[in-house]
Amino acid sequence: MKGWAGAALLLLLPLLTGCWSLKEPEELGIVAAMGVDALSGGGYRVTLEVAHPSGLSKAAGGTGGGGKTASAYYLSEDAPTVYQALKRMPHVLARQVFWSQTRVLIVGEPLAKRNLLDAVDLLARGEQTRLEMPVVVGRPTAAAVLHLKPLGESLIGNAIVTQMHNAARVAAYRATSLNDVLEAAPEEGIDPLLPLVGNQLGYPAVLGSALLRGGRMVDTATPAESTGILWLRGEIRPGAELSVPFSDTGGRTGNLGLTVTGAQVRIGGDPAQGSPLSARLEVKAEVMEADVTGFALTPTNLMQMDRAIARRVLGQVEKGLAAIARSRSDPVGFGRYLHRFHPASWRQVKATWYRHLNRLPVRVNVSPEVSRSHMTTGTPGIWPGKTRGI
Amino acid sequence: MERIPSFAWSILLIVCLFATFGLFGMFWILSVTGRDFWIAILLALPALLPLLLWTRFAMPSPRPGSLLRAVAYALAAAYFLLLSVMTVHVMNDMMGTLLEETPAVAIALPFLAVVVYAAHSGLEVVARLAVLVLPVVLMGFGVILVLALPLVDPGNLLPILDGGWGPVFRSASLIAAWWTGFILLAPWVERERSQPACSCRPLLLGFGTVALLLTLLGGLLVGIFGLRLQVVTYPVFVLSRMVNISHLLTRFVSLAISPAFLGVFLMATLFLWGSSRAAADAFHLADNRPLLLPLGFWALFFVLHGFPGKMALVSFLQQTFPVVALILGFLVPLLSWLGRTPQVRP
Repeated sequence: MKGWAGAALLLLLPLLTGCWSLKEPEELGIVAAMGVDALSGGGYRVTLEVAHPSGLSKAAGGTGGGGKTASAYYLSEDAPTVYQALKRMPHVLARQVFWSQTRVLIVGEPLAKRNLLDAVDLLARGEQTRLEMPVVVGRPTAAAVLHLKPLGESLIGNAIVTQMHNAARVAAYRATSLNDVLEAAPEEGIDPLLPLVGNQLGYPAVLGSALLRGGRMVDTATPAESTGILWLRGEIRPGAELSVPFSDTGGRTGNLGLTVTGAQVRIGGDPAQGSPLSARLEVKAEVMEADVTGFALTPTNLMQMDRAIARRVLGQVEKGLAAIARSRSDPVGFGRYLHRFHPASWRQVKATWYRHLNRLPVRVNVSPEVSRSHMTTGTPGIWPGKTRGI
Repeated sequence: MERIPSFAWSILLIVCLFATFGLFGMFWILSVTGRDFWIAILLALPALLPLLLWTRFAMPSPRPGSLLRAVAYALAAAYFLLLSVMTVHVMNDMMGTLLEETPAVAIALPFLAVVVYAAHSGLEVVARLAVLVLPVVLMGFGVILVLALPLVDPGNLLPILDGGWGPVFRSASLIAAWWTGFILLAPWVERERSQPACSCRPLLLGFGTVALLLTLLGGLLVGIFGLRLQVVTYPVFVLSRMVNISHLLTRFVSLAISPAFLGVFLMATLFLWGSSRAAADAFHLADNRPLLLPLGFWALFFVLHGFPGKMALVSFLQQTFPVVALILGFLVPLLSWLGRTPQVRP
């Protein structure tokens, strides 16, 4: 009996070899970027940037030479649902649409204004979707952005992702992943903040941020306003640049170039109990450049720098708060803070929360700290004895 | 002679309940209770105690007896078969989601064939396998824990009891109902262990450990997903797509699946064995093994045709199953007790 069972198991062994549900690379249309736009009569226009590997290798200077080969195909399909549009694509592409490698999802501005969440449902369900994929709003449409020629990259999907990775250095926007959007959707009192990508001098560039209310885009924030909102969200990452107008005790004026090395925010207060909302920001930075003639890092100047940083950050935060009041969107999550820590107060204001945002007093307190000045403590020409530094 | 140590029975419980929770509990329990899931888990435990004591009192050691007992054991056999079917059905659905083009029968048939073979080998083999599998399950959980910790936002656990106690109690009843199967099965397991009476200790140890582990896992997942957890079908697999380790560990999904797969295998085997044991007692059969193959075919049939799809199963689990489970949990020991043969005093 055991011998027969063993023989039967041995016969089953070939079933364990090879791949199951295999997908041959040459049969796949690997999507590098996906754009979804709203059609005026309802339904969607899905535009795909499908990578063409041999074209990519030539674009990158690979061997093969000869004629020009496009690095990507661009396909558009109109359908009542995103799913149907994707299913129709193989009629044109002759390949199976494979969106597991999609680098970025671009939602057209008109669709974002209608409801951005409608466009991401398929991807949230799809087993092959990568949730860390950035989601951006495309101006004027996703298709228009997808057809822009990026600088220094063959694929627009890669170009936008690279820009997202570089976002931390300029502090004006941050990558919002599909996961962030899906996580914020069911939460009360917080709205996603998405980068707004459009045409700048013929190249794709981040123009600012899209402010959403629920799943609908209601306004845009300029880069300065976006920075203020990011301070309040605690999402200014180490490495972000911060330029600060500075005047020292000797009356010398100029600008300081700083790098943020750490930023934390703590939201507090309970308006229902008479204590207005507050945001306490702790900012750590180091000096990268002092464009101030005769500047030296003295104890007095250090204090002046702290004040200058506080003023600058406060100014940016106020711009962000102004954008929130104007748009009546809550990208910071003040409502979520109330919901989590003061649920009784939240229940009182929940129904009219977006109206409250129009005149929401927020007390902002900035505590800066300059931690390092790198290889010098003063501008060239300043040394101990001439001006006393620390 | 005690062939199956007490700790092995506890470990079997732990592996069955903990390893499979990523497949089962999440989409039908968490969708009810949301972020207060951990409270529901802790509430379910004391709720099971009266049932445990009642089963121990009314059905200390199942033996063939009167017609009432036969009815009780037949009901138990059907219930265990249902639990086995649901276990394999969920696993089949999950594999179908990952391998879209694979026919359901290609997954369920070989799986149930191995389950029948393992159940044929007896409970001792299953229990010892659970002891071997436990480190794999805990290791898988440990790796997930380490990789997922940076994604946890403790703020997602707040506010507590946002929806009131209602959903929490409902969720606790679902958990208790699911665990009822193990309480009912315990007398047969104890008989296999050659224990004179149903012992509560291994069950309490198993349930207690599972409750603690699930509270931890639930807290972790709520911390990561927030309210979105209520609509995520298989959180551990979604998590594997959120953890950005594609260059480090490309087979993270496999790592996440392995413990669940082992847990499903052990749980399906345990309940199929229980079903055959209870059916053998109902029909006064000395050996349960001849029943395994027909029960396996029934299980295969129900897996493929019992529920039209996952949504039908979820609907059943949330609405009908708790009532059925709690009624059977009370009724089977009651019928068994009523149908007992009076002791003849010398």
